[in-house]
Amino acid sequence: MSILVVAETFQGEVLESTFELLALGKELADGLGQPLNALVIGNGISDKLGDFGHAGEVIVVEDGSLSGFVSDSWGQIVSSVAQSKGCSVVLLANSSQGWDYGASVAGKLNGQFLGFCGNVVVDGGNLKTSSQLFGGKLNVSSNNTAGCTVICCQPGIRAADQGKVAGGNVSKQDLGSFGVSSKITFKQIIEPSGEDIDITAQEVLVSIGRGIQDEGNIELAEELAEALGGAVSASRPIVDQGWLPKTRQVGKSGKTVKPKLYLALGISGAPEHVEGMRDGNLIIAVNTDENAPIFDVAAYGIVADILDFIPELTEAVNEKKGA
Amino acid sequence: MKIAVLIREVVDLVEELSVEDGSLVRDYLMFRSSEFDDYAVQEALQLKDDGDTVDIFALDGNEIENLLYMAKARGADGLYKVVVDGHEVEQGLSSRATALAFSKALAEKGYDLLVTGVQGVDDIDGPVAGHLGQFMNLPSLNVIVKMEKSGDKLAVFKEYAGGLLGEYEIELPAVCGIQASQTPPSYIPVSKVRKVKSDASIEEITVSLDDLPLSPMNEFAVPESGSKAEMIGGDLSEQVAKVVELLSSNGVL
Repeated sequence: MSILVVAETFQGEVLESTFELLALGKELADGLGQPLNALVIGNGISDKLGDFGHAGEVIVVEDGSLSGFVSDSWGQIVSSVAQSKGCSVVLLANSSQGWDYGASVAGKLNGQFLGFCGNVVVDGGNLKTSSQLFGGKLNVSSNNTAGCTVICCQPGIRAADQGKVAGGNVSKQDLGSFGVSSKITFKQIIEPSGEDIDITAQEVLVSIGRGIQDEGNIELAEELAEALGGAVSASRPIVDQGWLPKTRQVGKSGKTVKPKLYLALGISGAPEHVEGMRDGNLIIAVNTDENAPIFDVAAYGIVADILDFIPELTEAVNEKKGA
Repeated sequence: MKIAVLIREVVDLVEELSVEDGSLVRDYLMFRSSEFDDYAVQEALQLKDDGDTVDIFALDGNEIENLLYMAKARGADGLYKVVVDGHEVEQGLSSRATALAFSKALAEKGYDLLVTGVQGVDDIDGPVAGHLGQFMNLPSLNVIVKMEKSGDKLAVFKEYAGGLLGEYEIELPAVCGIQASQTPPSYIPVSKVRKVKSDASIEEITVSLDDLPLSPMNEFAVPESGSKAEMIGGDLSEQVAKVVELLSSNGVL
């Protein structure tokens, strides 16, 4: 039995989430008394493996055809390695990649897939996991009963720094040895189009969610942002409606921001959004639902209708500036 | 192109969720369409040309017939309700069990493309699209925000962090998990749905799941609300005054 961490690689880089997984993997390996190994799939990555010391073996599958993520190729390689290593646990990042191939890996291994995991601990020799579901409104725990558990871990599950240890016994495996056949062809990565402000560079973000209710009300947020010398950003539903461009989206599939002030207005606080703003310096949330998960992240919270709150705050800010 | 869209209802998160003795209280739950399934229907319909069909397969549920009629009003063709033999709707199904049920309902129907939402609100055991691809031995790609025909293949665009898109080409038949559609789901007047309801028919398909994959969820808990935020009370003007004070003391104003 062993534990396997699958590195998150993208465009030839090893992402920080990999080291969060390695920190967790080390903890679980110690708790379960099993060895920890790592698997790195990609292209142009072999000189970026200096901090994999927690892993007893770092298996590297490197090939020009792996320069872009392909779900079924990744799935075949990961399940093959997990099987050969007799894995009890496979740790993946809960990302666009992990979510894509993790379920098929669990299926191939006759194991169990667990997504959205915010924590994993060893409890009495077994794994106990906790996942945030229902838009962050409920925590759901699970006990490991399957032969192999494939766990998709939320960002920040452990500190990345704890996962970085110099060293790592690298062993390269030829892609051909896995007999990978894919009906999916990666073509290219496309950058977001259109010129817009960079919300990651803004000190003040007035961020809006479903509570804004109507596209016409965005003007209220723009007036407040202007008064505060900042910009308007948004959670996913606003962008999906086409009310603001993709460049303004904060969260898992948008930008990660760390402004001096983050005003979360009418945003419920789903985990996918929180992932992109939790490190803001001063977070103030306004929502009509006193149980909204955003209040677990914000430093200050107000239960109010943002359509009443925003104009009032804009007026007060302008008065203060004029004083 | 024959396209099947797989939809299900999910718990409506607008309502308060309560937990008793570690279990979710299901008595007063409200249900609605999964927003990602709505996007899947929309994206499938925008792919539809003359001669193509978009059929909707819905897992049995409390409000599922209304969701099927709504899809029909938006432009879908055949409507199918998938019933799992001997299973109580109120208990819900894991995403793996849902995928297994759909795989049995779709077997040998010859669809070129299977489309569903990237996730539901309680998909702890992974995306339906991923499981379905494995059950049906089809390529699957998730987190898709755009699909286009490309000869006898499909060009799809997968979303990554930071707004980056990955462009892919998939051989058909294939499964796609949709994160968003290129255009928002269209608004359908109630009168149009009523008309569809009186004209359209729903075919029921009953499937048996001998080896029902169980949900791994075994204990629910409501996170402690407001565990971190200091709540600012008072009337609106007092709340606004406090925020202005905070902005001043933190160097924003």
